[in-house]
Amino acid sequence: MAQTISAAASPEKRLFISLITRDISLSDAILDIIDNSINAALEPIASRLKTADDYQNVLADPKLKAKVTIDVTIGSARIVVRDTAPGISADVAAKHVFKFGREDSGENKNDRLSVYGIGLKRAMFKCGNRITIKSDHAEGGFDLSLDVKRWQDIRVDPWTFDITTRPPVKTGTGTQIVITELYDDVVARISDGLFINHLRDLITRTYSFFIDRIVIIKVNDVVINSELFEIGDNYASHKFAYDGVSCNITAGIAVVKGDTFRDKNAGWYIFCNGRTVLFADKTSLTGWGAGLPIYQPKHRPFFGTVFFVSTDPEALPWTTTKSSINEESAVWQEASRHMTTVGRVITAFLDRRYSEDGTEIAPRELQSVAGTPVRMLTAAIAVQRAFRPPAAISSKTKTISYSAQMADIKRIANHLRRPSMSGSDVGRFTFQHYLKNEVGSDE
Amino acid sequence: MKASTAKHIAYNLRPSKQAERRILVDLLKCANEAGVTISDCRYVGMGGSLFYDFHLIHRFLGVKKMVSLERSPEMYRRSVFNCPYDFIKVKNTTVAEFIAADLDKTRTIYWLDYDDGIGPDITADIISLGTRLRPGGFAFVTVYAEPPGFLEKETPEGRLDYFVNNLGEFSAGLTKDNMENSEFSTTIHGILMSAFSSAFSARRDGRFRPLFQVQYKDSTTMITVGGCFCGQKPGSKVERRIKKDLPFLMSKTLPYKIKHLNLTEKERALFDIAVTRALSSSKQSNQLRELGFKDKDFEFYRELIRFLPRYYESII
Repeated sequence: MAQTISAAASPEKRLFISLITRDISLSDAILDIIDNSINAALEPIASRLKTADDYQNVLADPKLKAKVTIDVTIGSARIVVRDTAPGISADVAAKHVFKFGREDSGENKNDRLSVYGIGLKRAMFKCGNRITIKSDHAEGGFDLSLDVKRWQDIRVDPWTFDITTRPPVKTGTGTQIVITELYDDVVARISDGLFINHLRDLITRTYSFFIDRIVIIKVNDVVINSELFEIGDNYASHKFAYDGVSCNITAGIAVVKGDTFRDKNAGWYIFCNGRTVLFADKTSLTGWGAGLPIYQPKHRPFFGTVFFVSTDPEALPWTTTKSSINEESAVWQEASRHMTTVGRVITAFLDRRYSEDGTEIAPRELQSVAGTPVRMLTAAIAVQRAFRPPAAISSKTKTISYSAQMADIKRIANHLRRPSMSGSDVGRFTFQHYLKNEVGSDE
Repeated sequence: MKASTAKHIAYNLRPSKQAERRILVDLLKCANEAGVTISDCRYVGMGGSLFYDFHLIHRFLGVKKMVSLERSPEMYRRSVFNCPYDFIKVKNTTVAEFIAADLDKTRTIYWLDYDDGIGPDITADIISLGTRLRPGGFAFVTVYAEPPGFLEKETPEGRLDYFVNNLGEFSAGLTKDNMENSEFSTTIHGILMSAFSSAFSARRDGRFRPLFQVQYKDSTTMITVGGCFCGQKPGSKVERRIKKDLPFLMSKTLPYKIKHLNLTEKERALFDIAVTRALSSSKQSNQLRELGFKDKDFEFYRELIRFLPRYYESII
């Protein structure tokens, strides 16, 4: 007689750790820890952050000043991230923070940057073997001391971390994460002289909406400044809502930096709950070479933003590493079509802006078409509006210029029995010949 | 390269084009009878200087809110001059600019009747329609179904290169075989269908039903693909109605080809009786068979009897 027996299907810790850390870079792992701190810093105002407009209104408020400092210290011996946010209570730590994956119970309704409930653990596991966390909270915090290798060898289900409680505090809340016994590849990456600057640049771009308004971020004692993006006020924008996600799309002409538009700033910027997921993207992911033309240097002034917001961060189209877009997400598919509609009026204008002889219109002249510079935040909360391209200057003639093989020009001239005919005359003759015999008269 | 038919045949004398227009108007009439009110819609088209589609859609469907798009500044002046009704707004703009700036919430019938071959602008226009068309709205796109002039003398490899370099994801899966002259119209039809399907795939407030796929030729082969974006119930009602009145539009996966029968008035009179008589054999049908007409010709005439135009010379 057939029996029903239970087949083992629980994950191996070693494989699990390898799987969750393999596809994330060291810098993205550090951003995951910073996400946790910003998520905590946003908690007091989370109830005011429900739509894209809410975010932008709150974050554009000039009176809003950062109350939380996030201090990141990176060395070859240890990585320390310390914040002055409200901290994590022992109760929340025991029930939620160390669970692998978010619960479906709606318990975390104030989370904005914490998505899958995996980022913090993945970041810790990525960097080193010894992890200590100390968190002070108004209701009582906790301490954690973890030796990852030893924890890996404990074969008890369900998986747990041992934490000890800390007394409640009225002031001086916050969380400190210290990772030591760093892995060799992590040490090698940190030793690369470019790494810290790369990380600072990444933090600047990733948290440009939060820096100075919600948090102050320091990396190895250097305060990170936000990058102030501006766009001309002659821009196109559109808003829509889809499955609990609100989305504002804006495209226009960037404000010139110095004498030229910078290639590294051109393209689409995608934000999920205020966090930048893609910077200056010029790939087919954001429609270049699909709904929009293939990106070319003449599109350098293009500046587009897509601002997704949801009170359920899992509904947003970001990947688990928050460094790219889940292309299968239905809201992304819908947004990408709107991006085509909004963006192509700008690319079409940029495509047309070459004068007859192919000379680019000077960036400063282009700026006059773009209009008065406004902060990207202001643009992104504007009501739906249309880009107003300048009236086309109608010209009756156009210069055509191309190169041809000398031998071919000579052959045509000889064929016409006018061997001394110049190259430009051959060009004019062949053009007229084609017009008359192939195209026919228009009249 | 063959010049556009519109350039050398008076636009309103192209019989196949006129049949196509009449079938499209009849399709909208079917939708109206199935409960999707058409007279409340706005019509956005490309009226040129003759506004033929605008006349039909106003006269036969009662639409009184219309926009004609004209990108060329020179043609715009003629278009404004020739505009037949005061309620038509003629706009000197591209489709892309119009759609991006359009804030009108009225259900709309778009007919983007390009005098052009498929290209990235056209596929992007279709994608943009997918972001603007409201439930109960219609969208139709007409393009050349033959290789455009600059590709006419290209090898299949050269044509494929152009498609891959310019049509992005809509060129996926195309091969040299799809670029042969004999396959070209099928390829264009496939691209238009893919563009419509992609444009509406993420919409949750309805489904796009490609109800109209028609190929015709006066001198150049053209193809029109389009349909209705609406919810399940009204969509099914519209489909049932079209299946009843215009079954030839519904029964094929490939576009319906409007056949150019090139009949004399005497032959048409015989066909009119022959195809409307209950019996398959009649004096008129026998006479037509003796003249060399085949069963297929009877079938085509039966389908198109209401749509084929008659033209006469008149002295005004």
